[in-house]
Amino acid sequence: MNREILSKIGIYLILLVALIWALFPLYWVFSTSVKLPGRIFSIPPTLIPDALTLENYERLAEVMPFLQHFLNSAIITGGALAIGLTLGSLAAYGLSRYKFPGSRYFLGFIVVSRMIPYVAFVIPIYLIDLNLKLLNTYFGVILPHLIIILPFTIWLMKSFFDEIPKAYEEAAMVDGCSRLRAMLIAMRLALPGLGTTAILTFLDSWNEFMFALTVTSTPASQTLPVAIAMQLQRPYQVPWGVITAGSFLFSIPVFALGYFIQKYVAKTFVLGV
Amino acid sequence: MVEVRLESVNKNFGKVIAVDNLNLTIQDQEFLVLLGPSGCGKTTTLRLIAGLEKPDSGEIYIGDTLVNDLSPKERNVAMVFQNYALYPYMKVFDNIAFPLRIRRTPGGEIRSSVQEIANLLGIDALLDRKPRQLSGGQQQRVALARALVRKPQLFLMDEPLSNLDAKLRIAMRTELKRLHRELKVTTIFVTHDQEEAMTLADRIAIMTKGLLQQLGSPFEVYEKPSNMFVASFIGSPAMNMFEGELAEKNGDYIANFGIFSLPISKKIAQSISKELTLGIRPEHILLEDKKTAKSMSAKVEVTEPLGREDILLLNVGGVMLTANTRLMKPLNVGDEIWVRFAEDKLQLFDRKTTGRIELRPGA
Repeated sequence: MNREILSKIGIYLILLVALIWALFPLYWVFSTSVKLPGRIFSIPPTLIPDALTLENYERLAEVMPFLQHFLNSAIITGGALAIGLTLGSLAAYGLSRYKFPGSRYFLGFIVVSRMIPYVAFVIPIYLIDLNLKLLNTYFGVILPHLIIILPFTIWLMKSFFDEIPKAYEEAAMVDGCSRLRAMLIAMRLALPGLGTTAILTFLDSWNEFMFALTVTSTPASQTLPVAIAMQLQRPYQVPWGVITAGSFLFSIPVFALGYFIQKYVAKTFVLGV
Repeated sequence: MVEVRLESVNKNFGKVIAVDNLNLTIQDQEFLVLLGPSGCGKTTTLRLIAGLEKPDSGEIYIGDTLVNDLSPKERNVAMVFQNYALYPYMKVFDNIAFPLRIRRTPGGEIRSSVQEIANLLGIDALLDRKPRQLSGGQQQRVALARALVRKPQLFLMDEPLSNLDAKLRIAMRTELKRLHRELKVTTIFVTHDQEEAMTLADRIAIMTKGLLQQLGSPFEVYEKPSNMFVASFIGSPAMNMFEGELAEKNGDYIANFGIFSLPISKKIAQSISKELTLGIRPEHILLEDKKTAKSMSAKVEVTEPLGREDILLLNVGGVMLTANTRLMKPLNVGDEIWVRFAEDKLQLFDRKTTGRIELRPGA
């Protein structure tokens, strides 16, 4: 009995440490964003702000079109997800259901392509965007994001499709569906998997900085992370209060999403995919 | 309500021959069972008929139509899968209605058709449930309903009872028989369970290694197995088989099996090889009260009382035989008894061709 309680206490202690480790940076961002400007670098650091202010949030709205950048990020992430998940699921379905010469190696090739450092793509992508006149456009940012999203989507969705018995599609075809329509049955059955993939790839696109920085130069076209990094810095000062205010607002969608979908994501990891 | 004809159908998967030059005609309104061990090509045959696989060569006709190049949906066949393949996100009603919706059947007609078939199968109370809320037997009925609802011309079933427990399986067997009698749809049923095959089939097609071994009524395949494979595959416990040789003495032919010998007519003896195998079903080994001219001494090695009958493993002169009988008084291991073969039930096989030798032509 005693040992049970002790081991439980041990587990909770470990979880507590992990939780603090994970959440403290976010807390620090939030607490900095509500501190008075003079208090941010006070020594010793104040863990809990002694006075609260929303001044940083007000200034954020004054110094940059926050909503515009938020919208840019949303459109780019939404577009990258829509294209990436559609193409990725189709490819994954094909890989799961059909054999073609080299199909055994194809998946390995896709996984390896994800392991190439993204920085290697920066110059080619810049040149592609330049030549196709896609610099400073939504699609110009979506394109490199697909490099990140597609391999992951294909790999993850393939394992979801592999789990779905072919008999569902075959039953549908015998019942009168075309091959294409039978595929939609499999897509419907893979919807929870698609949801999980969407969330995981959402993070990739929403948080992405390097490509977005490279292919956008006009303030109006920048995503939120780029805008926060580029537009808030002044020659002789770094306005930490405003930066953390922007960063905190930027994180809210991620946390909201994470809260609602943790059940599915956990399931995915338990499945071992 | 249609005849199905397979002519010289071949199907390989890489180097594996799944179906080898299959010729088979399934008659109108017939209940045909494809029976064989796993990997024998029976499921592939069914999938070829459904259009889920394409034959490498040969022709498949449903009615008068050559269907080789038709997609599954153009064949108007219905299929029940081993795992039922009910769409988990649809209610039972929508599952059953699915084939009708695909065909853009008017809503009112869908409702009445689904209701009718649900009544027939006794699942009308389950229409609002999701498949996961159903038992195995109920899911099975829903799968049947989905297959039957659009009144297909041909009904294909791929081991549909194998996921049910023993009791339910027997109940569903009766149900399937009743349905077939009522609806009279030509049915092809795949199973590896010989008991299922014997009870359901009008005719059984027995396959192994892609080859059709025998096509016949349950009675025929049991009483007159065409070869050694069919003889040993059909029947439980399996037929006793032991090897022997044909010998000639003064113009008389005798097949000698050690513990037993069998006179063979000259006419038959001249048309067969010398290597023979004798087969006798366990129920045709008869227990005798005392020694007679035809009886053999046997030692009881194992007894398996099953209530209705008893299965005995007997040592007859060094040959182990299984007997299936009803004991009047219990026997113990080691008991010495007298047995004889029911001679009119003996089966003789030519080991070279594995084919059965007709001992009583015209019988």
